Amino acid sequence: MTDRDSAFTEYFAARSDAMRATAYLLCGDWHRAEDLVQATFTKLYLAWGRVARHDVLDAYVRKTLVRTFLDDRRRGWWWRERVAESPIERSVTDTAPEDRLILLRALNDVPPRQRAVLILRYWEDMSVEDTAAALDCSPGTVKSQAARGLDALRHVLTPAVNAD
Amino acid sequence: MSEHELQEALRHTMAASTPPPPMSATTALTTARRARLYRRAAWLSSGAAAATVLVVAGVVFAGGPGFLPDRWSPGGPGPSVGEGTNTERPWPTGPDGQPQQDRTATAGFRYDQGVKLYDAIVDSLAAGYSVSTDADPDSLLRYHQASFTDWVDGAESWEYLASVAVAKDGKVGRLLASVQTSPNTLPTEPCALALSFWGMSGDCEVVSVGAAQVGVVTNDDNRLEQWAACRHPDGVVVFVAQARHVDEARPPLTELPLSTADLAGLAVNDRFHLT
Repeated sequence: MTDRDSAFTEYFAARSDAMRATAYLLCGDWHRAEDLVQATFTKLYLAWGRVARHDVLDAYVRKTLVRTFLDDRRRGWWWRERVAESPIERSVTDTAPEDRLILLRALNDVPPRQRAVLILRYWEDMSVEDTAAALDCSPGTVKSQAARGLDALRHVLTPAVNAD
Repeated sequence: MSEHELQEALRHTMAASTPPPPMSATTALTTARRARLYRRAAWLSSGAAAATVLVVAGVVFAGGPGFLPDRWSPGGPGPSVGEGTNTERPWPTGPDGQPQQDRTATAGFRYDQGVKLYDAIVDSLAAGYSVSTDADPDSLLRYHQASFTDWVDGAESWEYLASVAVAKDGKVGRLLASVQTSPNTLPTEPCALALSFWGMSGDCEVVSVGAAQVGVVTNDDNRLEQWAACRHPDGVVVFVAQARHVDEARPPLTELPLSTADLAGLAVNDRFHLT
């Protein structure tokens, strides 16, 4: 195994779980999340010579992950896959799935780019500036997209909460 | 839901979730290496194709069988993963002549159309109602937006969205308008069109406003309790919606800000008909 392969494997083992969790929140499906992570790390491997400095690896991978997610949405992959009303999640069992599914379904109703902002800001705890860099937009856009995303979530969740 | 509540909810969600077993680093590496090989093959086959052109042009070609390693198949399509394979269509061109960085217009004609829609809503308030002044100007309670929806038949399709918190006697409701430019893929029949709005359901009736047929949906969902939808002859679609309730922090209006007829009238109104 080359040094490149060893370093890549080590980094994948250390970070793929975290990236998969972020991908899961973005797309609501573990299988799709793993596809996103695989595609992301493949792109990382191809660009390894340019980005292998560890202080920028996480940022690069996070940015690539979100862009891969958004690109797939724009290309229509997601909608073609979801014509049969596929469940948000179908691979695992949990002790108390209701609350989790409510949030995931609500996130699924938030426009993808707003959702990406919400996940980067409030799951990854990224700053407005870092989120803007990851999404190639201005900090102002991040702020407005976050506000809109939160409002969209609020509107989606309100009836569900009231129904309880 | 506040920022803090969302953070808590996300952590709770992931803590309650049982992820599948860890992904295999070996599989990831194998897939990545394969993509790298395919990419190299694609480069080499491109070189072979260019060399072939030179042969046709009568230039001596020093290559030949064995130019590519046996396991690489020249000319075949590579995988979609990898650099240089991004063929997505760029965002529409902004007022600076450059592609936008995201869907939202931040200046120019499209942005101005969003402003016009906001102004149209504000000017449509019935007597006794006013724009709620306690709403954060950056929040969805007072905002407008112009966002690119998609390419439809090769043309840009845009959505203008505007919302305002409406106050009366210390109580606050909401008015919202959404305009989808033409061409678009929305339904044509009035109630089918109205029921396509944000995936919400309710009881629909068709209201005539002059020669126009407007679908008006009423439900008991306090997100938006009533909305009207009109497709203009040129294909522009206008949704105008209202709710007594705006959020948990403010007491709801005792009645909807607009009558059904007035709501339908706004959907037909020229000020909301934005191209």
